[in-house]
Amino acid sequence: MKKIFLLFVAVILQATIFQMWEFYGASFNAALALLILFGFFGGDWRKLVFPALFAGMALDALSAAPFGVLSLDFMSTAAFLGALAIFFPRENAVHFVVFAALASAWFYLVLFALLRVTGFTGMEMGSLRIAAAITYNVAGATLLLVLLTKRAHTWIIS
Amino acid sequence: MRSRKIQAVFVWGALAVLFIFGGMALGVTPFKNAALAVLSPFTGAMVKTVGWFSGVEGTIAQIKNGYADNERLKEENRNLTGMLGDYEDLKKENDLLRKQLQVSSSAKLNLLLANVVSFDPLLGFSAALIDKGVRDGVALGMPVVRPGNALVGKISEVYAGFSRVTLISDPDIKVSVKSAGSDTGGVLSGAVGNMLLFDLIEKGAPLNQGDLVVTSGLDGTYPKNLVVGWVKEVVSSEVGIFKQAYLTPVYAGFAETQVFVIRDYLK
Repeated sequence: MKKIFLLFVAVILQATIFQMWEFYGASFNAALALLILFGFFGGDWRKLVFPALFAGMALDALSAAPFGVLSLDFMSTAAFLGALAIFFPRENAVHFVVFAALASAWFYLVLFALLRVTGFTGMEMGSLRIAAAITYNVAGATLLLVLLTKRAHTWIIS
Repeated sequence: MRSRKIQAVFVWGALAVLFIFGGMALGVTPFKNAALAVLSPFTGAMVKTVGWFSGVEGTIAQIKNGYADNERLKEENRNLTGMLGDYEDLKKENDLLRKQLQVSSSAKLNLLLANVVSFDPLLGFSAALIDKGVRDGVALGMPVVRPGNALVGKISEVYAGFSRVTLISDPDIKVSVKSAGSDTGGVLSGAVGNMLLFDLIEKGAPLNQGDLVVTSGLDGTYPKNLVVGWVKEVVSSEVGIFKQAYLTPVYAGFAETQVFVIRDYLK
């Protein structure tokens, strides 16, 4: 429930205030950043899939992309995070940055592929925009990690 | 244990595929409408809060530039007052000519007030959601403007109680525009960094920094003379027969949370 509540807040902020600050056509994907944090500290994909589905469905409702694309993308990212958590070290901030970059790259590449498969042309996903989105999300997720107090961090992952 | 994990992966995967293709096949507008009905109070409140802060920021900037702006506006007011006399004469002449030629005056537009409740979480500042839909007489393709006759975009998706507006800052939107003073025509589309691109302008056509750009009405999608923006920079290369200009949009986005849908223009 905690994860779902935090993702709900992240979705609301992502669809409103975070759209004010764009970087080469990309804006901060707060829901993805939070999912990456859960994945890095939690690790178990089974605990991530349902919150990821919830975040994906909420974003599907708000987005112009074909329905289900974001739900599927978030769920696949949750599974990817779970797999990454098994094989990738998670001991320090450098590991987190690389972890976040890999997960963001997965998310946007899957999104690009799904948009191609569904034939949706309303979102131009050129390489510059994908690169900008990955960079922005890694920076945002890292900033979120830095700003989280130890107490908030314990509350989120408990 | 391992086989249970593999089974779980397959079950989730199958559910996800069913979800996406089932949703696409069955049509999902009732679900989207219901989800938006739950989310929109929260996103709408955030949009209003952001709009309020943007307004405050604008006011602080105005206070800082207060004296200079005040003098400039006083001068503009004097010039406009002087033009009022001419305007009244022209209006009388226009009405008389219309009467003699039996030409009706341009019809008033049927406007529907709507609130912006959210922006697209992935497209960024290229699309917005408003709280009016099919129930309120909104249909696909209807133009959307903000107070002051500034063009915002057009309706690209409609649900029962909500609609999606593709903003003119979206690169896929094309609008036939012209500069207000010189009638220099071209095509408008969105550009990176919330700028607007005024393209396909004849190289020799007059266009200067600061010129006001409005819709020409030639595309039949948008009424004419809706304000779009001001020319920020004119770009002309040695090759090619056209030049381009970048515009600063009039629609300020986050500071404006109420728009109007023009309901009868397409008929």
